[in-house]
Amino acid sequence: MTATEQVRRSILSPTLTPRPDFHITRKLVGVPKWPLALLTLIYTINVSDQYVLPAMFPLLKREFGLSDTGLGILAGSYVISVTVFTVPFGIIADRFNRTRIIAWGTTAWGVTMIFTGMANGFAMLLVGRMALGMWDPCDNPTSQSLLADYYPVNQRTKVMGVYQAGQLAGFVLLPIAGTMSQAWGWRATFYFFALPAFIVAALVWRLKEPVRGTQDRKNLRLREIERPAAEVAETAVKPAVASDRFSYKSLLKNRSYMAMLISASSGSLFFGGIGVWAPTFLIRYHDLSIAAATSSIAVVAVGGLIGALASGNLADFLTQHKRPSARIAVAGFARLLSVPFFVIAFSVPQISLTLLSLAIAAMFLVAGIPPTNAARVDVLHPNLRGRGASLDAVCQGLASAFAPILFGLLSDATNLRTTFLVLSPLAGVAGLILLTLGLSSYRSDTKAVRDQVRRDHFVSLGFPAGEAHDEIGLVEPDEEPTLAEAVRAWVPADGPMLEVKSLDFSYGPIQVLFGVDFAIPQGGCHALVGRNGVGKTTLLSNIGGLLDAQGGQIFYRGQDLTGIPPDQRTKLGITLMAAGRSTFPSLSVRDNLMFGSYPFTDSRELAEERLEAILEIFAPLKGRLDQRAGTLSGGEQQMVALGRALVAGPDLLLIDELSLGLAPTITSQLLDVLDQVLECGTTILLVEQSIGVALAVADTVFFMDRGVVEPLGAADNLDAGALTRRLIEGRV
Amino acid sequence: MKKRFWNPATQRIVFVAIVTLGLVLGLVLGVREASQKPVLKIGEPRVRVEGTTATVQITVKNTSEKTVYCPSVGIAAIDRDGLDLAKSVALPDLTDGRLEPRASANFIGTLTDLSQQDIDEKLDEYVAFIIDKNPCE
Repeated sequence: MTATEQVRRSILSPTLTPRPDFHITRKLVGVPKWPLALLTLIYTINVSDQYVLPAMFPLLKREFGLSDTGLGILAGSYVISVTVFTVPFGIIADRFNRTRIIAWGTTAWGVTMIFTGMANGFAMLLVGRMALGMWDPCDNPTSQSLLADYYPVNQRTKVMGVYQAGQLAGFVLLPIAGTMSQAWGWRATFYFFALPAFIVAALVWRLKEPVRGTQDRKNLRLREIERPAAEVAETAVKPAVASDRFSYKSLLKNRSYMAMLISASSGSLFFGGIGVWAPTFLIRYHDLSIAAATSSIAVVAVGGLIGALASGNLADFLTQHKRPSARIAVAGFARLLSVPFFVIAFSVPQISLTLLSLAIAAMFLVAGIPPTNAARVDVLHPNLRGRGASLDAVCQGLASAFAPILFGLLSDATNLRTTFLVLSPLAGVAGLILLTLGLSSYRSDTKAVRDQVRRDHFVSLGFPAGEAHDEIGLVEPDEEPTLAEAVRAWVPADGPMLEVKSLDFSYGPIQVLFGVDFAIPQGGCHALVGRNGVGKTTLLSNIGGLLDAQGGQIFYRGQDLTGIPPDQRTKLGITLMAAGRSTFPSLSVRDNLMFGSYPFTDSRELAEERLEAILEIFAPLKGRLDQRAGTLSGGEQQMVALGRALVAGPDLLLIDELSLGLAPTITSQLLDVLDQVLECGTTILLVEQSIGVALAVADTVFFMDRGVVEPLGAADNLDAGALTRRLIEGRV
Repeated sequence: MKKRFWNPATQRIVFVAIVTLGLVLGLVLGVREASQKPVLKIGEPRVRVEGTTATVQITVKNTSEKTVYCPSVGIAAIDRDGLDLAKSVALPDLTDGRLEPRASANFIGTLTDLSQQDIDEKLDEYVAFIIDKNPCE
């Protein structure tokens, strides 16, 4: 190789690849989605009783000869019951097994629905109604506390957004209940509504109860400290349980929690009134029929659904990008932004504009709920979250109950339009409270929780309470580097470049990876050998982000890759060269190669230089740049695939079956190229079936069989014959 | 060592028993209730509104094979929450109200307690219902 060629080829060095900071988005993977789906479904079922009974009112009234007062008592008894029992259930949620609380509560709810269906008079209806109100709080505060421990802190708002959608979905059940009661009678409706409750209760029973604060501890990156087992056994205590320190009184002292409580109650005061009076407004001022006005209000639910899901993503996104107070800020601004749209909705004469503004306003108003719920969890100790959510539910419930009365009184004194316009700023007040009181104390309150979680962690490990444990320094969220920065800042002394921990992967019911553990350092080529169908490609696809494992973690340069999509992994420096002729057959060779410059699209010059270097390495491609890749020979296509991977300038190159289906001479050429790539500083993880190829290029070898990986050590010390026999026998 | 009665195994057994019983009971009761048809079938109310007075006419059919009924029929105007805005008793129209097996009869009633605001803003629908099936002597 001439000096010029050497200079040209050094352009492939990964150190020259620009790695600008970029916004990393994580999918909700690596964590089971099942608990979120189940708890959201339970929320939907649980709120359904609020809608089912009113739909039955006319039928109940006729059958039992009830007066309107009687119906009012039935409706009111539910609210009273919920209010009375929410607080005790908050305490229970903080002290006992939460999955069991929800399972028992949902079962009791189902039993009560059947009991209500069997009612033979007002007394049974009343008892049933109050019992439903009693079981209602089993779910919401407990679920919020559970979700905080199931899902990572950095995805908390997104999770709360999905959960909130469960409540909005409950609206759909109102017409369903109405239709069922008309077709089959009110008793059958109660019986049928009870059925899903029993099913989900049985499923919740099977959920694993997470340790309280487990995600908060993970977020602090506190790891187990090696201590003699005997010493730990003597001194270790269970993770802190609720004590006097974690009482309702301490909630009242938490400034940001109180700010959120007042804000949420103000929001509910306004939204509760809107929910009841908006149809009347549309009838009075837009001449809609009652049916049209009632159905038009569905836009509020649609707007709310969009708001709940969008704000969750936005707040988590900002939180992950050095905006530690983003949850409070997003919630505050969302509520503030709802005001002008409410004002427009209640001022304009055009019904289309009114409904559009109402939908947008509802979107902003509801958008404040998931970030607030997530922020509330952030500022409360894990042992206090059930009570925090319960007190919030009580205040919001009371505000919603009082709202229609307030709107009615003001409407009688003035008119409905003036009432709406006068009370619209309430939503803005809710936002301002968050942006002032909430923002000013949120950071100190979250820090207090983090410190407390850290203290609890060390106490649980057996360290004496009160020790400073200063040796484990905490990084404040705004000082914490972004993931891309952390990857860049990593040095080999920090640990392995790639670390796979307890990785489990299944294709449907067929498990392929069984707790795979292995690590590779930076530099060199590391071969993973194994027979067909043992999970090598699956493992590589998991590292590359094409597949999402059901369990375990993958760390690249010390950073957890869970949920990061493949394109973003490429930007972080991981490039996968898939097995087979992985080219785009209909694209030209040039386009195929240039495709590799995806991680640094801004630097056209570097891409061109690298293309030239690749053409020098793979001379046969030179005259075929405009030829369609699909028309090349197998060896040439493999050259294109490898060339494309090299244009990306990866720090870690994952190669799946380099020699598959190639003539030995081509394979030999490609191995020479790999040697050059290694000289540039790229680390290679090579999956191979051919022992000869693996040992020819690899520094270390890993053996894989039946979904398990075993390190075999340095390639130089391995006997090719013995390894081939082992490969055939498939022993690990 | 004496095992506590309310241990995880007992909890599980009790839980599974309640859930299974609930599922079966809910399903059986629901299907039974849904398959039951009312003996007296009420048709869609036909309404004529003059000012704030609504006249509601309905047809009641006796689906029984043997029993003769002399039903008492009510009508009401209800709001979105199912609460009565006005209600009244409907009387047999052109008959004595005696419903032979498989026979039908018209009932008619008038609602006079409605206000214009009720009609404009609150009224959801007119409904008719059987107050008492009342088998004839």
